[in-house]
Amino acid sequence: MDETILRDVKNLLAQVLHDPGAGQRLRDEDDLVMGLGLESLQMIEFLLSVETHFEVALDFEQIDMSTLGSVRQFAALVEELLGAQGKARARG
Amino acid sequence: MSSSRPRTSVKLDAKSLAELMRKMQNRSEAQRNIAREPTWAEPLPREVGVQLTYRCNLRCVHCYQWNEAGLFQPFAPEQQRDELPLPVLERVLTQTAEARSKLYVWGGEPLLHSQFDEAAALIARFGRAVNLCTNGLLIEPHLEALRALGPGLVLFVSVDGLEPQHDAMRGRGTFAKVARQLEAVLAEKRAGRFAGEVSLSCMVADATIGHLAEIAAWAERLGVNSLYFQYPWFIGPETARAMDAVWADRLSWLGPLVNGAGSWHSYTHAISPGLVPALQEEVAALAGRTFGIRVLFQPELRPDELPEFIGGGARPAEGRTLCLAIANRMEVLADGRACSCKFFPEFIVGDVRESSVAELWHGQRFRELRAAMRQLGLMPICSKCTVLYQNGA
Repeated sequence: MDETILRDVKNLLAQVLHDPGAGQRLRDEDDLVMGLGLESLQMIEFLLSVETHFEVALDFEQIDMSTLGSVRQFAALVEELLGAQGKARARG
Repeated sequence: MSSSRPRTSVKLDAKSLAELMRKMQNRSEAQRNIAREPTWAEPLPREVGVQLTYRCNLRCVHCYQWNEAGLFQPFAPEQQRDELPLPVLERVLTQTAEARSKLYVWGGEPLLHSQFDEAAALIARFGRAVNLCTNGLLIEPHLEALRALGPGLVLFVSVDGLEPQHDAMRGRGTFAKVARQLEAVLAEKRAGRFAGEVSLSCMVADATIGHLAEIAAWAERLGVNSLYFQYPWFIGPETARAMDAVWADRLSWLGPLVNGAGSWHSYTHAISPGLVPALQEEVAALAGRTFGIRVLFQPELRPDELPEFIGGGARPAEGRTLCLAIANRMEVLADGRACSCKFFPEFIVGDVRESSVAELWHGQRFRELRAAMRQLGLMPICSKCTVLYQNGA
């Protein structure tokens, strides 16, 4: 796991939660829905900010309660997409 | 963007998350397709707005349809009584079966349709998700029909404050009546006999400013799903004139203006500018609170956007720059004509009594309209369109 991706995901969550200090406090295992309590509009805002920040196109239908089950798990999804889409871009 | 949003203790569940992700996927794909081909549209509309009838049993002071300056006032009496015939509704449902298009049912007051129960049964037979916008006065007589629409139904009931504010805007005695009906349907829901959801829409207006917190607390006690505080759709004279110019220059080929002037001149109800600071304070105070239901402002204006928006300006809120509705939504008016825009019946693309939904959706008129609108970007009147905020980017 690229730790910078994990850190950036936490910072984006902190922005959505309007808690600037949260980026430091969030734990890798925090559940985005059940633990951090992201509601629907916060979720939209967070996922759109992930797309903008990482310049990656999320496959939203791949995202479910399990993908959002921990910050680390979600960051792993971003890393995987960055790898796949980066390779596609490099090939294109 | 979310700084004006009250917090909620309601947690997303797996079903709501899946629905949300489906919407985001659709939106994302639409944006990519439009970037590649500006006139792109879905194979069939994902949502069809159905204006069941123009008639309404209220004359609310803020209504762009039926207040003194309302759009429907100059209509001939027979046109005012227009309602969508059931065979036409059935045609629309049949022709959108492949897409299972969601319905947005409204009016006028949709429960006033002379065959509402039959219309609901028809929709239930096609198994469609329905958002139904009502003033709530006739819920109980139609409860069985509404029940048949199942868990896919969301009732959006207009309640403009508690009794003094609501009655001032909607007519004496109406709050008590709608509150009684809401309590009845919510009791049915708690008992497991009504599977739909019930949400409230409340106008932010001179009468409701200063009472938003107590309205939200009442909605929370009532146990509705969500409360939407709706900013008025006031289109100021300058914005309306700017739209007149856009119409004359680029869109007049669509046909005559409604009532000879343009429907956008009917959106006249506004908040008094002197109340803006009080409203800004109230919105900020609400943003610091957590409710057991979802409490939302529509659109989600930043404090600095508020004066221009409620002053009738043309600048869209929430950074919106793209209408997705012309690529995924069609409106059917009570007289059977089809329209690209929910709120402005000048944008006619044909008639569902004469052509199929697919023919209209991919027809020359709609394609030319999409091309013109993509060239224009958002029009001056688009800033007040709720669809832009629910379904734009």
